Amino acid sequence: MKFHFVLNSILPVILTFLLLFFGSAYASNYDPKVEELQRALILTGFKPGKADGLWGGRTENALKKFLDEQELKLESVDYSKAVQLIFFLWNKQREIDERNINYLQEKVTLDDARHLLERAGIGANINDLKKIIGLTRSEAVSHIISEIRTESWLPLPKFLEGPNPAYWIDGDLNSEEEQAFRVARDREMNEYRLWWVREIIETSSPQTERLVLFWHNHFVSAYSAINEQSTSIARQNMMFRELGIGNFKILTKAVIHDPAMLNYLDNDRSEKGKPNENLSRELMELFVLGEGNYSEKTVKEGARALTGYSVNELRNTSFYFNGWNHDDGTKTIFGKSGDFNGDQFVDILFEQPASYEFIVRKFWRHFVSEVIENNDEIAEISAKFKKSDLDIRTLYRAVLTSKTFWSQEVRATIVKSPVDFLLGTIRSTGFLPSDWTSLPNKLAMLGQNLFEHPNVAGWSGGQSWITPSGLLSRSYLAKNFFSSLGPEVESMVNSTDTPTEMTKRSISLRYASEDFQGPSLFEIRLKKNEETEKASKFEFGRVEYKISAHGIYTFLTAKFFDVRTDEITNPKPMFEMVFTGRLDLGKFYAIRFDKKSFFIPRLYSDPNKPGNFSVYDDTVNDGSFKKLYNYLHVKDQSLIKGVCNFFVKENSLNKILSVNTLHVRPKLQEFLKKDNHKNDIKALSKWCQKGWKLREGIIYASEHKSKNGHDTEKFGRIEEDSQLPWQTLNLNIENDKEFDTVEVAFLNDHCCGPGGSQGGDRNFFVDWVKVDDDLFLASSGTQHGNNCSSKGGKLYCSGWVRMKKSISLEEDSNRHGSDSNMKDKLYVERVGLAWMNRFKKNRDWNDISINLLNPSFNNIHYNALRIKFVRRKNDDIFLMLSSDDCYPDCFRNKWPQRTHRNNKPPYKKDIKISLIRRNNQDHEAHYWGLNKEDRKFIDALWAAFPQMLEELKSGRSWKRAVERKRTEGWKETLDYVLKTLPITRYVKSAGSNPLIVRPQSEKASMMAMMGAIDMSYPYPAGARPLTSLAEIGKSFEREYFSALQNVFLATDPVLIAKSSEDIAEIITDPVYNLK
Amino acid sequence: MDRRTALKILTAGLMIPVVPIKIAHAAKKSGRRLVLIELSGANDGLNTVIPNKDHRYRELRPNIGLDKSETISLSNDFGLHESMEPMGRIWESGEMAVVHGLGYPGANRSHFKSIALWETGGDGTAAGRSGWLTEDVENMPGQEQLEAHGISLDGGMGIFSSASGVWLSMTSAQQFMELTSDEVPSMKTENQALQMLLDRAHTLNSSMESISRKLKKSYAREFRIEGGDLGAQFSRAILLINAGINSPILKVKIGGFDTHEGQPWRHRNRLRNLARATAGFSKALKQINQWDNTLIMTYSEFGRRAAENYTEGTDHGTAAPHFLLGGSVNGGFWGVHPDLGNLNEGDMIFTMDYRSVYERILSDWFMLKENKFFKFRNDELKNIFQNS
Repeated sequence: MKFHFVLNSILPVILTFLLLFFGSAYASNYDPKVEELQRALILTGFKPGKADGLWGGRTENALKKFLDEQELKLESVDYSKAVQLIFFLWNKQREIDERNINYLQEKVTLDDARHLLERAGIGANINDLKKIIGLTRSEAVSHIISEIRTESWLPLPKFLEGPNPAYWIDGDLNSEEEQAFRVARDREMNEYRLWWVREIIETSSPQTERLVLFWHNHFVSAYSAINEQSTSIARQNMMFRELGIGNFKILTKAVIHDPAMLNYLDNDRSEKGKPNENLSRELMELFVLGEGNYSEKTVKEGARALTGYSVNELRNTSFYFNGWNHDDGTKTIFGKSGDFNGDQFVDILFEQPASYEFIVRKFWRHFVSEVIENNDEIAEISAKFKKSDLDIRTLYRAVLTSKTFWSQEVRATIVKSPVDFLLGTIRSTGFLPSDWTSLPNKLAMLGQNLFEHPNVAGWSGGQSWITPSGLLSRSYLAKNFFSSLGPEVESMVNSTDTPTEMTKRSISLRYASEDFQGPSLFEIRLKKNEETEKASKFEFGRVEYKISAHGIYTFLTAKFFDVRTDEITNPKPMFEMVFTGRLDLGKFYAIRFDKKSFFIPRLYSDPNKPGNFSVYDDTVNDGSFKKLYNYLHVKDQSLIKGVCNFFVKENSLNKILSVNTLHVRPKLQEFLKKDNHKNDIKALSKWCQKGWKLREGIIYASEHKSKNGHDTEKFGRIEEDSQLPWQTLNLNIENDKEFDTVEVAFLNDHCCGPGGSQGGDRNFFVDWVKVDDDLFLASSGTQHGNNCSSKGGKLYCSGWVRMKKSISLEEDSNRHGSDSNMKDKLYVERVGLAWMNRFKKNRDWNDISINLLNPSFNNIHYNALRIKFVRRKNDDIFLMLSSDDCYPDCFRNKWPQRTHRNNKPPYKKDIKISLIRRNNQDHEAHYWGLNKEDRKFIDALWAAFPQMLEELKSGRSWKRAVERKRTEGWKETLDYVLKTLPITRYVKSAGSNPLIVRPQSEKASMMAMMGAIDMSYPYPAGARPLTSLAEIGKSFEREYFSALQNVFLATDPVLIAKSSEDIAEIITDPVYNLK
Repeated sequence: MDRRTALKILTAGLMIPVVPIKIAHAAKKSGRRLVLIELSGANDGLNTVIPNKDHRYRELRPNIGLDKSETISLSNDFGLHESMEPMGRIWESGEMAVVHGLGYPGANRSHFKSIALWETGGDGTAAGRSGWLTEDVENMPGQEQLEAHGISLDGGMGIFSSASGVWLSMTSAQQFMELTSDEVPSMKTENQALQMLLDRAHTLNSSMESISRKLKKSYAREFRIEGGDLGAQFSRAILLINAGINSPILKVKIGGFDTHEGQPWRHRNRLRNLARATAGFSKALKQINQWDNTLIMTYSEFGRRAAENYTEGTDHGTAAPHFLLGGSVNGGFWGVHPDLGNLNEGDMIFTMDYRSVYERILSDWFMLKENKFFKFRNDELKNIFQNS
């Protein structure tokens, strides 16, 4: 059979071919793009020969034939356009095939359209529905499949642009640095998670994201199980987009080369002799064959084949075939024997009949039905899939055109996943809740925390979504889905992000709140460091103390008399204050002021006692003392300052406690004998000081209420900090006075509900504050307040975090500039020990490996470099650089001619540069085979060696080596090197001490992080969010949508009235959980 | 199914009287429950139960090792960390068992992965897919009413991961007053997914109603258990038990055991809270007559390395002892302490598979003789429970 279509007439737009035709020269190298093209040609009946990825005559002829038949004249082409065109034809061919299948020729109804979109996409957006209603089902499926993309709709997050974080050196970080490193990775993970959520909401091709989600849950790797490798997990996600609609075997092979997967299933540590079986087992059980289709013996043999499939962290966390760890012995797998490697193992797996049906059944369960299995159809689909040589497009089309897929019996039978439920609702309604940035948390709450699967089998879907907590959360979220309708969401949609130029200063704060009976209150303050507190002007003559008790309370009153007035004639004290204590607690717990001190209006009084005010930790931290203090007259303020200062002093304390106690009750006497009072009074006075000191030096302060907090009363505490609902507050202020520090205070701490903090607890978290171009990081700030023991920005208690400027985001001076004194210097950001062994004389090879982070020397720059210092038994001492140990490639991959090359994968190359030139002729050739700049670089490396040795000693790896006694025995060798180096050509060329260590500038990563600030809200399915129910209702044009329920519900509701047109109500029906 | 048929089925379904759905169980009969304490972060077994007589212990731990005088003597050979004095008293009453050297083949040193193994009953060659006891507990024989199969009081649900059953997370009693589940009519439909959804909503609703009702009735009595957050979780557990809420499994957690540095004070602090909270819980259970049918068990992702590190701490290791407590526990030592003279690359070699303990709990405590850990049945643990 031959099909003839003129694509030019089918495609409304004439496709222009942008890139230069690759020419007629036959490439001899494998090119995955060529393979993709060949596979597309095979599937459409043009015969390019074998899909071997090699460009040759047959491929070219097949492509020409295709182009001729389609009357496409082209002088230039790019592969992906060509592939796209071929698959366009392919879909048309399939439509011809389907002409005789009656149910596929039926016109798509609203029910059909919603069914197809909800299953193959995410939600059912109004415009997408309109596009397919009225087509034949066959055409509708073409529509879905032809618009599957291989790249994301949105640009990638910025943190993926540069090289990966230096995971290879993180073992050298001390615990604080490690913490900061981890926090940075968590931040990236959160950014990516939110990025994906946004992609799903906005994309014009939800079918692409449906497939990515499918693969995300098929080839599972969880972020927290792979040592926080945010970039690896993000790149894996990109890979699913790129290969997810291609060939299943190619995808599977990519997965066994994927750094995140190799880490997740521990294959990166799998060695010859002790293979790790995880990847081998899951490859068969979960990825390709299914349980029961392999033996334990095969797991072991497969694991051997996979040994050596690992990751080189230093080389940008990329796949690395470690030939030394690979077991190249003979394995027997499914009856075949040979020295198989992992790729060949995968090939053998796909020769097993179970392999086709396994993935077909998984597609079936995902897209068609979890309950109904039509085995005849499944066999048919498997046969097509097999015939297509594992083409995912073929599989997908076969599933979506199956009779069962379109039958009524499978409608409304699949439980929506949390992504369907939440993000689908956004796409379907066009409404975006104003707290959209916390969507990832909400997904987690519903049981689908993206990138954190419960285990390697992934989310099992179906009824496992309907756990008790899942049900409760669904019901809660459905009922509150539209809660931010109205002003809140309108202000979000209408806000313009461009700050007015009139504003003198802009402040941004990134924070998160755990709410309890309401949101957090917080204050942002800019402060100028004042001179130390000026001596108080408060002067007095005499203090008189009195003690009294009332029930369990005791009052220690201090009366202050004026120095200038004669107390005999005027015995009225000018000021009075009371330390309040409780006999049963055995302590003083507050300082009380009342009308004898100064007038206290009701607004600022103790709520239970108008005219009174008690100072203690709570009233200081919740800001009420601050409010009273600000209200008071300057005279009274100085009275407070004066007395509080007074009672911090030792001799005042001694005096107050020598109060006459002869005439008080025995119980009170007993109370006063306790020796903790002095400390209690002192502590209270300090709180009092804090109360007003807080306000000193403030040049700007404003109070705010947190948004979109996590309600701990309803949902319990957040388990991991990374799941906090981060928000950014942006302020433009008119105040441009100078300041030194930024403080963020948490004003209304609340602990706890019944049963302690787990019963609900209000907590506040600060990430950073940005004031104009200066960044203030909470992680390097200090936390103040009562019993606030945690570091940085975790305000679990009332208190404040004080931050100093850590980073200026303004362009800093060129770090590797052409400044003359920077010339010929070796700059690195960190020197760390990579590895060393205990020196043993009789061992042929003793070595110390040193990591250099971002070394740069004149125009030479590496992100990562590891140099090996070696002493051989023959006394040759040299530095060694290997192709595995540079990123990017050593010497831009221009190796000296006589470079030492390994003849075994990974075909490692290395050069060795001896300390003493006469020692080794080969090494001399290495040295002189380098170009001049690289030679100078080597000179500098050698000359810097003594400095490196000193530098690396401050890292954790060195300490660990000391502990393991690996640093022993080296003295003699190192002494010799230090003595000899000055007379070598290296020091003569590079001078001594050419190394300059400059710790990493956080700027780049911070800039990426700050990207989050300007993040605008996403457009559901590409359209501006709707802001009222009326607007949403109006968007559903009646000619298409006679009843709103038909748009949202896959079957009749069970709780709400069948006549209900209220969207907010419709989505609360239990049936809305089904698609 | 077209809409009209669906309608018929649903209307027909509505006529079925609303009855609470019963969950099969047997726990009420014996009234037995298991309370699991997760020691999150990997507890250092060697500094919890100290081999006082073993000179190699102090060689491995010159700085952070405990002196004999810093331990509470449990036997000639072993002492308990002195900060665990409240648990020492339970030991004296013969109601605390220490099971030595628990671990599994193919040790994994990732917190995340290894705790998942302990919670699903897996090992280095294969991880489980669901909680280690979910299946067996869901299939317990008997017909009386349970409010839940298990309740997590710390919010962690890994150990309860199951596609069925009523496994609740209840980080506050308040949540049950705050969150309302939908009242759904009990109905029958041919749509299995919808049926499942409605049944579950219905079961949950009855469960929560019953829990709320019972809680409200007994809310007056408050138990204050010391020991920080763990004590607070136990207070809530007692609240549930005292209110008569039937759930055979309760789970609590205490964190902070990842003592890579500053172990002497960190660990002491953790163990003190563990012991105070556990002893407080035990006392409260005795007061309400529930001590004899409660079994408390500790677990943790792995033990720590035998030798200390240079920052006065210990790194991730393998085997560790765990505790079983309760009025029906035969106290004393069970199993064999790992040989400190025979370390595998610095790690103690486990002497008993942790699943042997699981097996005993399922078979001898819950009387589920044919449970999924049958092949780990271990005679060394015979009679660890009285009258089992």
